[in-house]
Amino acid sequence: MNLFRSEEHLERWLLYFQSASDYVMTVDEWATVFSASIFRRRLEPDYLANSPQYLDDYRHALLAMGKTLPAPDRFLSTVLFTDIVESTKQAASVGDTAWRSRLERHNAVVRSQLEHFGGREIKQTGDGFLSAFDSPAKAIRCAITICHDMSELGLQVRAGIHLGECEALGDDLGGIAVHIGARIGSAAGPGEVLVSGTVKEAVTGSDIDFKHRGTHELKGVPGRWELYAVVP
Amino acid sequence: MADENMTQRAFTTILEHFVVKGRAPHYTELSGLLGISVQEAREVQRAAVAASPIAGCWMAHDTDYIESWAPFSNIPTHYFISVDGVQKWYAQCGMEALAVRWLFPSQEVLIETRCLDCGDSIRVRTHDETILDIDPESAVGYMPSPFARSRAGSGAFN
Repeated sequence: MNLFRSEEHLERWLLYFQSASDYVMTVDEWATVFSASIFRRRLEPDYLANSPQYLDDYRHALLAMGKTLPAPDRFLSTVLFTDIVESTKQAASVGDTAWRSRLERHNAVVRSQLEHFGGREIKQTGDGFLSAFDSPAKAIRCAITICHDMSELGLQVRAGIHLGECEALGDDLGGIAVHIGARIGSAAGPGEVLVSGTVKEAVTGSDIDFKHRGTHELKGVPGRWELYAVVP
Repeated sequence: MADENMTQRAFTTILEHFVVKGRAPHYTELSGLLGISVQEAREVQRAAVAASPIAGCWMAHDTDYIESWAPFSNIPTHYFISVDGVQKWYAQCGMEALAVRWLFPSQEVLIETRCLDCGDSIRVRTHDETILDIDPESAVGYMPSPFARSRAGSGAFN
């Protein structure tokens, strides 16, 4: 995102890049857009939790200028978050070298199971993975297998799964569905695969059983959410 | 995965470090600032990057070295930021340069850069809510579309 001395200069520069000019505004107008909460409140103590809402403010600020955020590529996807339980404590107890080796085995197992079940690794999140699947049932089976395999490595993993529309952000995934998946993952217990009601309904008719785990508030996400633990 | 409170603390601490020092903390410094181990600091940094909205923070490729933490850049860019006459910050991009002022309340923030077409200077002076002046007045900002992909190498980012 760049500044130019005038639109004429920009147009000349754009000759080198075949990009749309939807997002050209005066510096004054950009300064107004960049007054939205997502830019203004970065030092607030609950900034990250509130960022989905702040992103909406950003969209509105652009809209007020007659602009919109680029229409994101949206598609339905099942997101799976897996994460090692108490990784810091375990790392401290076994030492750096042993922990690194264990992490490498963990990563290899997760990647192998993703490949087996047709999942796509989106990114690593600390000691976990965000992955995407076309099918919620495959995501569940993959998560169960990962949790099982990890116990053989002496690790405990928690998993959260949600199904919803995601936005393509280059190679990354974005959108509220991803935030929900992450929150569900955080709510899961050791060795547990926790899913949203959306996932449970989507796999109706499969041989997957669930146990109701109550109604939860997911930080930064509107409403209350019914969560279900997969019965292995 | 680092817990949410620690992730938020790391996010804020890194940003505050930029505000005071003009650069990101190394993860060994972050470890001291947060009172956690070096390994934990590396992990929580990655968690904060993953949690940052609008893909605003990232590491140098395949490292745990912070490259950019919106609105700042940890490597020099052509968006020079001065606060009350002192230049020690670089903005991540031209638009984020306009958001730097929110981190320096009641201080004058000067953005100095050069037009990518002609190389002549562009200066924007801000003070909290107020844009004090824009030189030249005709200056425009351009955000490539879709902006989220621009970092991946279209060349249109900066």
